[in-house]
Amino acid sequence: MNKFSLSLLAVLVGFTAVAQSQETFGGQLHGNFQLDGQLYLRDEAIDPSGEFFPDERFLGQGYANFVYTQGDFSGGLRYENYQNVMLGFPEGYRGEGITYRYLQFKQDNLDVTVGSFYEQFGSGMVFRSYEERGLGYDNAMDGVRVKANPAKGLYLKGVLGRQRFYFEKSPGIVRGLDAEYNLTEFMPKLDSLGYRWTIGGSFLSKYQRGNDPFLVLPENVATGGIRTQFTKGPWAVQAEYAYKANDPSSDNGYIYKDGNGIIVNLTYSKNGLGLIAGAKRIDNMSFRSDRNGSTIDMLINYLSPTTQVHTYALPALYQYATQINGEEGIQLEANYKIKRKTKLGGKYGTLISANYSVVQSIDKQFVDPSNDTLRTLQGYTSDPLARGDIPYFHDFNFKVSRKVNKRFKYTASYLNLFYNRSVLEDGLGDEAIQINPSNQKLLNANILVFEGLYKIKSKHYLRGEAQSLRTQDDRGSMAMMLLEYSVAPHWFFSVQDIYNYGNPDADQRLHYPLASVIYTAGTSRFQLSYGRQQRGIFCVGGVCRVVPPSNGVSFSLTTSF
Amino acid sequence: MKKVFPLLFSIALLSLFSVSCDVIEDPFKGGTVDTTTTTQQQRNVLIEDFTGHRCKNCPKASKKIEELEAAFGDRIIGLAIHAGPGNFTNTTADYPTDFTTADGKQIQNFFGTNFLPVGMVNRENWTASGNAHWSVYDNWPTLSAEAMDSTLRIALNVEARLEGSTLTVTTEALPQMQLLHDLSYVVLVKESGIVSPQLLPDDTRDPDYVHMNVLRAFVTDHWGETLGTSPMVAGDVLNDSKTMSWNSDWVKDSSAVVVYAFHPDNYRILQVVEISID
Repeated sequence: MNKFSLSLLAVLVGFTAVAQSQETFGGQLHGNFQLDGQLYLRDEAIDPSGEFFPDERFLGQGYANFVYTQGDFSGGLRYENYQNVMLGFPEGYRGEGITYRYLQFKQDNLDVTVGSFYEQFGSGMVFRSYEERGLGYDNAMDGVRVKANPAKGLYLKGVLGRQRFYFEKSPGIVRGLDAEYNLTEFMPKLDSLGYRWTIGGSFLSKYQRGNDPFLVLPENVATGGIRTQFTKGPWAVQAEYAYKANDPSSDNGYIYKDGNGIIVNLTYSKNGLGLIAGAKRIDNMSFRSDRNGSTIDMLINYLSPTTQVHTYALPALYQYATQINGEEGIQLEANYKIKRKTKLGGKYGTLISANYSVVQSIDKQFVDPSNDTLRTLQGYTSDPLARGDIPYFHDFNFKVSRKVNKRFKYTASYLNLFYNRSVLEDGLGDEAIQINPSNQKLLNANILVFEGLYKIKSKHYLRGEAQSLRTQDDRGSMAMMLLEYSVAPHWFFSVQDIYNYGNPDADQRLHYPLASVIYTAGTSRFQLSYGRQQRGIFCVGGVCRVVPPSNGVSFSLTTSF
Repeated sequence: MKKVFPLLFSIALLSLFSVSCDVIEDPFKGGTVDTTTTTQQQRNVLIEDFTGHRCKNCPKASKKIEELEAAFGDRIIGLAIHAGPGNFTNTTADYPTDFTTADGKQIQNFFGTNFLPVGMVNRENWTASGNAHWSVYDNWPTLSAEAMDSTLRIALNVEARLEGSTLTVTTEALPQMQLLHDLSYVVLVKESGIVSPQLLPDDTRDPDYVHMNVLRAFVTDHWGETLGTSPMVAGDVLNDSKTMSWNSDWVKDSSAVVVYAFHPDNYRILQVVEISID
């Protein structure tokens, strides 16, 4: 073992020595810590003018959570630091401080939280406060939450507070109530017949002062929703409908039209066969605690996507993002596990799955701009039974996973993608496309992925991926190879390269290599990587943020206790 | 408790229903624009509009400034600072004019953002670790109205004269109340009516787009120079004069001088004026 490994080990042993739950004042103290940093290297191939090369050369950020629990009481805080925020994360994260702190107690069928909290009503179409650290997304509430279970099967929630806006608070106040009734608990006969049935309803209102010199703004904006979930044997159906009152905002171009959304999901699962069918239609359902908010800032609700999320690197370049101003789509998925010891299933069985999702615009008939009042009040009319004519996205994929023998298993996938770059990257609105449809930037791609895992010997594994993305559009075709070697439970080595061989600009037919080593000791993990990241643009609602290209050495340290 | 809680919940729900939604039938405010004239100076508004000729949503921000200028006249002063990510601001064969300045880039870097369009209205609410000083163009009417309603702390009288190739700007500052902090000020030149291509919101290129309020150069340092030291009281008169060499590429009749006085610790702009060049 060389000096570097010894030093690394010494650091990690130091961490693991304290990485134990602490008993303090009769209660339990636990938490976690993460620190990320990158030393940026000048790379003229991906950034010829150096405009993305940070003055600081090194950027680092991290956080630590501390949670104390004793009986029915708990409290915690999170410290975050950005010195300065790393490239690709929202620039709103500037500085350092305690961004999340709370106290919580349970008593007399009440669960009370004061301070920061995350919460969700139903699927989130009315309200969802949550955190996604990888995206830099955090709309935590700061205020009061009360949960109660006053009668058998009845669950109530009430929230009041303001949302986090980086190191500030949103200017709007959020107040909401949610009730969910589990009828099965209330009527045991349903249970005995094998039914599970819940119904629920939410109501939420935001208040934001309106001082616009031209417009009479609604300072109180309400939204409400109803939902149900019903299961019987292998079948389950979920449905939710939400309505939002007039809410002129930066997202919808300050029109006073009301909004609505509906999501329905049907699932079946039995004897190795799984079926999922989902449908969604949303119309003007952007809802923020600041009407002037943009991108991922201060969203009150969450509009779940009805497309599959891909984790392989090349398909992930063209992920679908929900269009909060309006979209409609369906998703169909089938999974089947072919039994083992059959001709098709092989010795260990074979899993096959197919997924199809398609999303398009909703029908929109825009009001003539010459009718100023109606244009502002209504914006457009939409027939919920008519199909929108602007395709946003489709994804058909087919996957086979098979364990060949005790040492080797593989997954092979094929994807056919259609991706409307004008809508999903540039934020181009439906009206602009309706006027000039030939101006759209579209992408069609075929992707093949093969992943294999080979067990060399006890605790030694080799995993490989080969990916091919074929397209004539955008940056052109790419190929990727990845090789990982792990020695459980401590060491992990990885090398990969993406080659953009089909880029229409010959100077940009570049390799994007990345090499990583990870060392894990107990609950602590240290990662060191070197490589290049491709350049991209992240747009939501017409405002764009550059995810710049970069090249450098990065590290990540995580631990928990 | 079990009987009381649903009752309390119902009351809470009813009260939330009753107060929580305003339905607007007529969205426009009629006759609210103050068109009265007064000889007494009022607090004006500087909107620093960070923009780029390859940023397709940026014309929407320029249009918002035009709407405010139409409503509030010379109390609204726009300043288009072409700075930000290179894929929005750099030149190409289709967008050949370089509107960027080193000063603009430094201001953008210091205030810390990397997306366009975005702006600052009188640089209100700046903190070293926050971002409340940034605003999107849809919020500029509200922020401008609030700034114009606030108290004027210092008045500015400015003259600008171009003689030969020398621009001379003389500034007289008149505190309107006691000021217990130092005072800095900035003098700059902007130009309007520049015809050059711009990417539009529908992703098309307008080759004859007219660029307004383009930052050309700072006469003082872009972080300002001292205008007065604390304490200052109403009745004090502060004077200063600055000169710079005029760039012959700039059209004098389409150009203007902007002067603003600000708090040097939090960058809050206390007053701003725009004058044409004699």
